[in-house]
Amino acid sequence: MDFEPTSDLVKKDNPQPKEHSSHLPWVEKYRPILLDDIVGNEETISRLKVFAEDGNLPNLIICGPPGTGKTTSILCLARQLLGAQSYKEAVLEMNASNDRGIEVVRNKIKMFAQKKVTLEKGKHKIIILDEADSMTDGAQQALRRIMEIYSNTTRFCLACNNSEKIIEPIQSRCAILRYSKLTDKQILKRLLEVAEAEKLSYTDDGLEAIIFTAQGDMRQAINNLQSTHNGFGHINSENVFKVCDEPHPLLIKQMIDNCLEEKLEDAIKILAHLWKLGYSADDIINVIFRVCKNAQMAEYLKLEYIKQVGLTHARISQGLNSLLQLNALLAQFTKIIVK
Amino acid sequence: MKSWVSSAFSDSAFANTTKPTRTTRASSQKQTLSNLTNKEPKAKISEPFNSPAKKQKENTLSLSLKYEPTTRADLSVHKNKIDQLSNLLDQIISKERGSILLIEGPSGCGKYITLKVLCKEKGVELVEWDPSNVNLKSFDLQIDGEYNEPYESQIKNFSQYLFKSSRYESNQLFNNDKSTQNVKKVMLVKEIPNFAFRDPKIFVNLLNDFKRFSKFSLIFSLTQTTYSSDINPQKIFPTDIRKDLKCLEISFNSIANTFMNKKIEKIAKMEHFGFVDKKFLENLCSTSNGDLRHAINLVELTSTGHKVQFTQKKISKTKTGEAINFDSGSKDANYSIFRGLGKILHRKNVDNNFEEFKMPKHLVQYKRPVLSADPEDIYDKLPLSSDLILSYLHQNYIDIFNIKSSSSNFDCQFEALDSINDSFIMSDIINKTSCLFESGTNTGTQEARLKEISASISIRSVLFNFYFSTENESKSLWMPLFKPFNSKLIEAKLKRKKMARDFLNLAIENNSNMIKYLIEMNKEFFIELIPFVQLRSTMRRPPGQQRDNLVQMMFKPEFTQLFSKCTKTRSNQQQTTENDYENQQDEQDENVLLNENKPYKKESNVSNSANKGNYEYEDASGLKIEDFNF
Repeated sequence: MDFEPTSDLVKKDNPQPKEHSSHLPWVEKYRPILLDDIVGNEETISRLKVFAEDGNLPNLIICGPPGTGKTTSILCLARQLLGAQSYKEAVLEMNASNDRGIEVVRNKIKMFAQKKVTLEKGKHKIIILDEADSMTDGAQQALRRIMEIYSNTTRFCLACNNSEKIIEPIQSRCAILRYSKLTDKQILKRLLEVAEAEKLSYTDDGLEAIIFTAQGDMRQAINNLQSTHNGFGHINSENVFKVCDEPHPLLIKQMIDNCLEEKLEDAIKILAHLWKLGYSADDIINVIFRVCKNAQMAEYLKLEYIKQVGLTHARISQGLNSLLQLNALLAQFTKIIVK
Repeated sequence: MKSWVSSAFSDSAFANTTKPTRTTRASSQKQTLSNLTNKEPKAKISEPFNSPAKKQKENTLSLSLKYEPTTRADLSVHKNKIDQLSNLLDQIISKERGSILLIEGPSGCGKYITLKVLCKEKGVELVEWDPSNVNLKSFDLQIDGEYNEPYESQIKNFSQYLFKSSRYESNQLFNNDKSTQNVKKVMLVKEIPNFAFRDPKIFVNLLNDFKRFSKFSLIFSLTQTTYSSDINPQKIFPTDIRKDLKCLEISFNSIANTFMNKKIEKIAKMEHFGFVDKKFLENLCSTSNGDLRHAINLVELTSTGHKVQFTQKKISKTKTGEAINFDSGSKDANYSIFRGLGKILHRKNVDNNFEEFKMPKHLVQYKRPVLSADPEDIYDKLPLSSDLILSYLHQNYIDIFNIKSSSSNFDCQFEALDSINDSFIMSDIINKTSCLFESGTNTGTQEARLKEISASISIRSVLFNFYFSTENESKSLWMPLFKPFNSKLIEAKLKRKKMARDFLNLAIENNSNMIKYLIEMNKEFFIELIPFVQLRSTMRRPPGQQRDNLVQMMFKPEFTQLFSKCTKTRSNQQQTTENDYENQQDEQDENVLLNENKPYKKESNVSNSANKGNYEYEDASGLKIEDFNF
């Protein structure tokens, strides 16, 4: 039975940046160590800070979209609460890559919950279950009991994307924190910090492009920044879209504008061009939706356009990913205008 | 903490042997780093392992455990329910021959606590089945082929639990202490073992045997779940099996607001939180939904570090728009459900000027003032999934629409409703399409995107169509919000997911008729909408006019036939098998179909018949939207 899961895990989570910084993904390299460094969701983080100081952490569920700092904030919290040394002893971290069937819950998690670690008053061992929504209902059911029995020595922190996939008895035993998507401003701030630290050459539109492709996901933003830097050495919008392999949103925007001006032929030309470049229908519809969403246009038109995008998207998802479908979408766009 | 539990683990030899080595190693490291956490590494080794950690850590208990009721007077459950359960307990204790009692209720309603308190009062020992004990107790070496790991099947473990008790006076699961041997025992299962969900028959057979042979009584404490259909107790105990096993039943309701208020006030007093504001309690009650444990957890979360959290000062802050958001456990950028829905159902503009975009002449009438909130942003911040948003909107839009549009002309109203219905249907189709993909796989992003589009459509359509000239809108307008009635549909989601997969295979073969299939697949939802849509379409649409979108298909003869056929078969079933549970649900569905325009009211007969279902409106009806200060 594996009784020392924590020791090797901590090595992974506490990288020594000085030694081999060049090999580290920036996401890891610039992962915040302290709760103060975490970007966004200030209210929630400030609450966590109180727990980091006072202890008496309740069982927590943190849910929110990817790349908003759920795991990071739990790790920071555990580190600040328990101190780097007890962290090794008193934290068990498991994510979806670990096997988390009922057996594991019964054995590994339970063993850890039984383990005796002496901590300061008001501090508890912490079991971190990342991506808890991928646990089966049965495993969650088994968890609920362990949560109850060991509640005076062990606390659980669950991170998930979708709190509905956590069964109700567990939700009832936890305080639920919700994280929301990061704003563009917050991501920009962080990107600028990274760019500064790595001495990158960048243009403003390059960073804007990264923010557009990331959609509130900090992890993706930083990954894209790094891959653009590694690939081209300079960050401008063209390079970013090349790296991310997305149709350029400006082209898509022009295409939609053409539809709005009843110039269907021009719109179809742009679409044909994109198709020739090798973008799949899925890539294109994705960008069309995002551009539509952010476009400056009348509310009525936006509603109707999004409806059409949705239908086409549904068809594409089911396998109808032909150029014809996209052409039909453009035709619908124009039709709404023409009457 | 129950004594038998801690004793079961504390003498596991394993923990005793490994512990010292670990701690010494840790302590040596600690000295070098002079960490604050452990100043006396030796103390913990000398500390007797068996001593309960409880006394030492008294003040680190979470509030919900600290204030766990120990007497009948402390319980926050309705007095009648306690008496009822007490009677049932007396009944099964005196009978003492394999009777089975089912206690049901939503989580956090005090099922287990009430039972515990009553058993203590009656001097009955509760012997709980611990499924997590499987691998630690009584290893059963099965050496078949390569697989020779110590392993014991859960079925065996469970049947041992059920039957050993009757064979021996005190089996290993029971406390071996001699003094407790004369105490009456009742067996408790809080968690239905997993094998029961895979194979209900084995489970039922076991219970049947239990009824025949056992000396003891068995109590099931079952959590009613709304969403997770995988582990729904209803699956294991359908009505006929309950009858066969002659189960005694009692079902708890979620905790009433008055009880909850009292409890929270008491805790606040004991913990010196200071003055508790009424509004705070109101919010708390509405968001915790009758789940007392969750409410206390929320109190704990909000109170930590801010001992005077609930004072008047805090409330005045909420007035300025920074609402305390218990729904998300703390106040942050998210909305509570009611606030978020309110933002959708009560359109708010930046000012009264119309947007300045160019519009073709025939569309000028659709110009709207600029919205103050971004619809997609609302979706991001609402803690609901897209299908729930749709269900909520569908449940609530008609009431609010009736009030808002009361003074506008007939044509306008119809057009708006038409558009909303189109959008809802489309939103639902897109949403259900997203069910084709498993989340977590590569297509997970696609699923999320489709969901976003779906939510975007439903939210935008309501926002767009709920625009009427503002002069008739009274300022003090408030409407209760109701929980979606079609929660049955949400439960059917899993079933539908499978259907969707089948559909996908079909679609690949024959993709020309795709949308038509889609509609058929989703007919449940459409059927609910149709009576309304259909009525309007016959009244309003001039004969020649054709609609070039999806809804048109719904007016085709095949579809209306399908619909009438469905309703007929439903009503027939109702007459024949009145008591069947499934039909009860259908019946309720029918109610909604027919009375869509009437606000749904809590009716005693409905709530009675829905005891086994998941319909609870009590909580939602008491809430005023106004409270949330849009």
